[in-house]
Amino acid sequence: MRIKKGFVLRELLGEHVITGEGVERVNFNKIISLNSTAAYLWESVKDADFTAESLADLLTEKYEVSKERALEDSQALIDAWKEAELIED
Amino acid sequence: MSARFFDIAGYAVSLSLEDTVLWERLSNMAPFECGPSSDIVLDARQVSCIAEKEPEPLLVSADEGFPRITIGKTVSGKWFFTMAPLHNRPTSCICTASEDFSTAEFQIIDTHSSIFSINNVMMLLYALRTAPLGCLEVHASVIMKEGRAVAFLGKSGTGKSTHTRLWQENIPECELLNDDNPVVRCHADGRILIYGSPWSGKTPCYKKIAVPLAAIVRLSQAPYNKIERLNGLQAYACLYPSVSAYRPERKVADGIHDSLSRVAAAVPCFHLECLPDADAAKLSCKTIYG
Repeated sequence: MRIKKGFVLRELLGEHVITGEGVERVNFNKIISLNSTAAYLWESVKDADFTAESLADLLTEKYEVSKERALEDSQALIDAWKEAELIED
Repeated sequence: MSARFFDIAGYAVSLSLEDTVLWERLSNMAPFECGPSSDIVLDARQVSCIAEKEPEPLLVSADEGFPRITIGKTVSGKWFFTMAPLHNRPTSCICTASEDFSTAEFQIIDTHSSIFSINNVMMLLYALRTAPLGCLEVHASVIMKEGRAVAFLGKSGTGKSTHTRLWQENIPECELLNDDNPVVRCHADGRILIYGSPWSGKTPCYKKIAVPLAAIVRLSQAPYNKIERLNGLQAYACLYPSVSAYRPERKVADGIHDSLSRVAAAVPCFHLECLPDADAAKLSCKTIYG
């Protein structure tokens, strides 16, 4: 899956938020806040296809976390991003 | 062709009309007229015919009950806008603009809505052109008191104008600055001012006045009155839907984000759940002014 076009990660008062921009996102009138781990993953995959496995690899590269736990967290994040309609297959 | 110059939030813009009789009906612009200036940020001209062909629109904004606007890009890289007074009405005006929105030409197609077209073309061009220059066009009703102003935000129909009318009826020495579309400008020296503009919705309130922005209040209807301070992130989110949604390119989006961040960090923001009554106005006044 991929991040949909028009979503931009920005810094805001020390936090990370996703805003919808460009001609594609004119009706997306909300912002979504990410924690620093989610922001790291977003930044890493913003121009690429990704899966729960590839996100989990990114997590185990950077953090001391078991592969199993990383996969669980990645899947949960993907579900949340899907729910927020930020990503597409 | 006659050009006139206007000072809107400290930026000079020029507007040239072929149908010079229209000036009389643009009385909302008159308070903002200034002397000729060579230092203009926007040069908009009415022309009798736009030669470019209409490109496939990149964006169509056509909500029921609101003006319809489309934005596209021509093969030569110019922006191409069309607009209509309502979502289901035929196009009343087309406009082309340079890549940075600093020069534009527009053609009035339906002469029955010339004034609508000119005002909306100018509002749209001004918002896009000045976004990277620290300006935000905000959908708000604004009241002034003690040399500062409070901007009330909310979806159309929430009661922004009602709330500012309640201020005027119940709170001494306050005055409406603008009822629909003021400009908030973040200056390089850190000051954040709110300016009256030639665009004020249904209320003719066109004041060339600038005052510091004391607070921002988002309104929601409720069966009670309650006010709550918002933190920085909430303040940004509270403002976000009330500034121009048109961010067709990165420079515009970056400008809007920078200004919103500065406002959210520096200006107290509140959420007011309220009834349309005097107590609601007194509550927001007491919270902000003490």
